[in-house]
Amino acid sequence: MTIQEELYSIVLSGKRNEVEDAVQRVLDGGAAPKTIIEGTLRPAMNEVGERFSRAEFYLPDLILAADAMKRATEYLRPLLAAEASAARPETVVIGTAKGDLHDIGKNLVISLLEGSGYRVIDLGVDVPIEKVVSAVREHDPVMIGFSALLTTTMVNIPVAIQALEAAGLRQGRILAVGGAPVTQRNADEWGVDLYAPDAGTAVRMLNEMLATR
Amino acid sequence: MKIEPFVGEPDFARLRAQIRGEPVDRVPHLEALVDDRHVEKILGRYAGNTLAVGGDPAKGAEEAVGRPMVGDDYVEFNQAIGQDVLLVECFWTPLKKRGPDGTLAPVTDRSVRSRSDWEEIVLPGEADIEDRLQYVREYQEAARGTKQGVALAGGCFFQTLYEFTVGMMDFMPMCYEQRDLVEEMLEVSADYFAQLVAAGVAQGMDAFFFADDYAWKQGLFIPPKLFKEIWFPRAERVIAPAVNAGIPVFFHSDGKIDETVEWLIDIGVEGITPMDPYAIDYRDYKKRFGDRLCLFGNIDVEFPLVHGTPEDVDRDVKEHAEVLKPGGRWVAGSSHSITNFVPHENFVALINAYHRYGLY
Repeated sequence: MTIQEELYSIVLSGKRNEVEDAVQRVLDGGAAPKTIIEGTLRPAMNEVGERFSRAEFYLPDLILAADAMKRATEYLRPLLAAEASAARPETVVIGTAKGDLHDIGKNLVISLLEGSGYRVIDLGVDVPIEKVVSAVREHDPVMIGFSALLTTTMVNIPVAIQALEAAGLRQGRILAVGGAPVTQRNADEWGVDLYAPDAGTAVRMLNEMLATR
Repeated sequence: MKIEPFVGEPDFARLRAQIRGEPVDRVPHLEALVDDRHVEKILGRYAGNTLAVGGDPAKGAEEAVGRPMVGDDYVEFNQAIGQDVLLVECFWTPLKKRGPDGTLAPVTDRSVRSRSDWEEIVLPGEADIEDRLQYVREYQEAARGTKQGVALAGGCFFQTLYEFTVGMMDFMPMCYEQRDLVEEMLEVSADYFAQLVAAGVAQGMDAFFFADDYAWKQGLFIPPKLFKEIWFPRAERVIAPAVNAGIPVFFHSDGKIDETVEWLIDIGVEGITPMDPYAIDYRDYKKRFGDRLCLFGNIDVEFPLVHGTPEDVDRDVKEHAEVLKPGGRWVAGSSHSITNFVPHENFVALINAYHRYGLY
């Protein structure tokens, strides 16, 4: 097994306490930080997301792998400063629908987004519509994500979308929705670009959408 | 639109018989939560919801905050819709922490990350058991003279930890990395519910609605082998007082629980709810488990209940009845709750359809 394969395996298996040493070994072998991220870490996280979508990975596997990826990226961050950043330039704004205090699904998506290198602005739970509008204005995200666990609160998602449209902030951004009661039917009704049944699929779809832009 | 006259007054014997595949006059139905606006429309006055928030302002709403629905209201509501049992909410393990001023408060901030954090937790005691039992007694008193039963509803010894004590993002890795601590927390959490169920049995409760979410649309949160090792022996201990007393136990988890259904049957569970429609095909479950397990729920809250019409609701219940009614062991119900977002006419259509298509 090469040192790159070893790092890949460590991320895949979520051995977060071993990841920094493994990254250092790859650096010692002469690899550039950007190459490590793009050639090893991101492919490893893609496989994590795919395995989760196929129900081969469980929540602990997903969370540990995402944390290992995050630690590896943070370890490399100072070394990336000198070169053009290998971190994704894209920002994502995400939050749970107004009135909804559930954040498990949202946090899983954030783990995978951060693991994949996105800059994530987490608006938290029970997010007022004005806060969404203000965050979009401030951070200019490529994607705005809404999550809801309750049928009673998911109705606030289209209200937030209308507010974004009224503020002229909807155009050119990917709108994404997810959560237990949310369906493709809802996404279609609301004019949403991305609906995914699970965190792994959400991030894979976002990657694909951005790649074809 | 009103609840139409129906056959058979609310009767816990109907629910128990249906759970066990014995003859009944009509299919029983059960909702853990019917939200306050529906209750208000049925009763003609505010009375809170059927699960955790109750209190008729006429009886002192201020004092009623934080307590379940008043027993008399619940009994009257059940009489109106034909439901056989009153549920006393006991979802969460009452783990507490002492604040800077010395007062005890429930742990809801997901602050336990280590053994030293855990050692600061004040564990449940007899007062916490009594806190729930008082409502069992109140409901029994309210139901006196009717045939309605009283059940405890809860037992989230696993879910409490990932929802409130530790938090999902830390609890799940902890299952791999600090299994000893996870098992210790589960043990304490399960101990409380085992004592509560035993006390409920001694108090004469009629059923235990055991709830502990451990799955999502695609499957279990943690690998089946690990889950079987850390959850099932404790679940068996929680429900043992009821099982040994011959009191029906039915179990709730959302999500796809396929891998665990046989294990649930093995520990004495007699029914499962709500057969999450995003994860479970009720036709498949009827074939696989219908002769050994009572199947509850599955009428999708999203459609037809929220987005459909009364006609859609009626049609969906009819389709379910055609598959699930023959042979018994079906308790009609929604896939989760009757929230305020469900149009009231759809809730009324749901109840009427249960009574229309549920006749034997």
